[in-house]
Amino acid sequence: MERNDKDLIRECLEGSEQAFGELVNRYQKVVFNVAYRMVNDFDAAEDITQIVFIKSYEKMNSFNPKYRFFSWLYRIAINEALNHINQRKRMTELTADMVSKGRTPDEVYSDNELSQKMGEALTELDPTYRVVVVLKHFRDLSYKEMSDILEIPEKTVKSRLFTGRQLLRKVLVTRGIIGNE
Amino acid sequence: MNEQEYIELIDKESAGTISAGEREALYQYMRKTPGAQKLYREVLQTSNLLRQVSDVEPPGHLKQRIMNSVDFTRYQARESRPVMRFLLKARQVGLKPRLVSAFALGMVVGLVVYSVFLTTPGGRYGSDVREMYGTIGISEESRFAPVERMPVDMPEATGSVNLLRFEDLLRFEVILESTDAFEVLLLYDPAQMGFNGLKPLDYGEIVLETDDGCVRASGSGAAEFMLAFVKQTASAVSVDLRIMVSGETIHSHRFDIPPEPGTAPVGEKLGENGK
Repeated sequence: MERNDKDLIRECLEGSEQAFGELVNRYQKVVFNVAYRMVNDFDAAEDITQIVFIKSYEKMNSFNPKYRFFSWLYRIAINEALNHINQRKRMTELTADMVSKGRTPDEVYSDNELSQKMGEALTELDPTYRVVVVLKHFRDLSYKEMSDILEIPEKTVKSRLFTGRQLLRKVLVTRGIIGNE
Repeated sequence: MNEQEYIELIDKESAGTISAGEREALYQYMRKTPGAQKLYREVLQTSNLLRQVSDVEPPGHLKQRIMNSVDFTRYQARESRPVMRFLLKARQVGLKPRLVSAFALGMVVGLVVYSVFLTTPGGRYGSDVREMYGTIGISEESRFAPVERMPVDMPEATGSVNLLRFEDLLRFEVILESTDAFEVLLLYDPAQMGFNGLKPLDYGEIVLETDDGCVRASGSGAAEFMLAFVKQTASAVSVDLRIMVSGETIHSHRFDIPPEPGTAPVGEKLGENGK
């Protein structure tokens, strides 16, 4: 029988490496994807995922079991991604690569291309909106879950999602990824 | 229906979780409200495009990288320490951990002391279990006997330097109170004796410098400390003491340590004990 997260956390606190390995197996992909969609950088997403798991292990003895482990993990991931974005913002400027290549709407994008284009478009969104779009559309979280993770009211989640999605649409239209009506 | 509710229904429609009643309300709202259909199409188009973007596979080595960077001793250490487990258990049965620890420590110390007496072949003073200040398991009063007490009574410094001895071990106990920075120098023949260590007897700071045949302990104000030596010859030895305050010698003295009748050097005694 598959052990639930709380059992695995208890085993981790008793010193089990294997239990922590199981939690990594379970959540590394989702954490990595959240980080990747937030920062649009494969290497940075790898670094962030590593940090998230190290921090979660270090703070595991203060984890409140009344919350869900993955919500807690997401929260750490979002915070780490935002830290990374802020640091990068201070250190770099926009490069020419990040400017639209101007494809026409009729062109068909492959999976990889679409993923890359969407990643670039997302980076143009303010992180406040980017995070709700990522959690909703890439992780399919409910408003309630997003509200818990981001510690904001559900109403705010909904309004940010709406605004974020509309802003993203504008970027996608500008970049020629989708057509304007 | 307000705009917020309308947006939620579009989300549900996009996610495929909308009920028949909600869909009816949604379409009714769109028929009545100008611009609502356009918004509906835009949201659906963006959502559909986002849905087409698939997850990225993390690198295969990521798990190993994470596992390698986590300090697993953090919780393992807590678990594996038998003393901690014992104390936790004691707490569970209502015993006070400090009391239990003190009792356990007392037992260990008692056993160590008792074992020294048990393994002493030559009686109280014949032990070969030695540390730098003497012999473990025998009280200091029983070991070290005073050889000479030299009082210091000068305007710059007062106190005393006491020489004590136990077999081939010598100790100079220095108790000094000076008006300024002081230095205590002990000069000896390194072929005849060796320096064994400094032991502070109070909280004053002492700086120690050693050279071949010279030990210099310096400090300021009041200080109590002990300098230990070991004789390497059975014959008589002498140690010259010099006390300096503010760079000036204010007192000097020679300690003559006669050979103790019947006392053999350490190496010979070890041979006697067959070790």
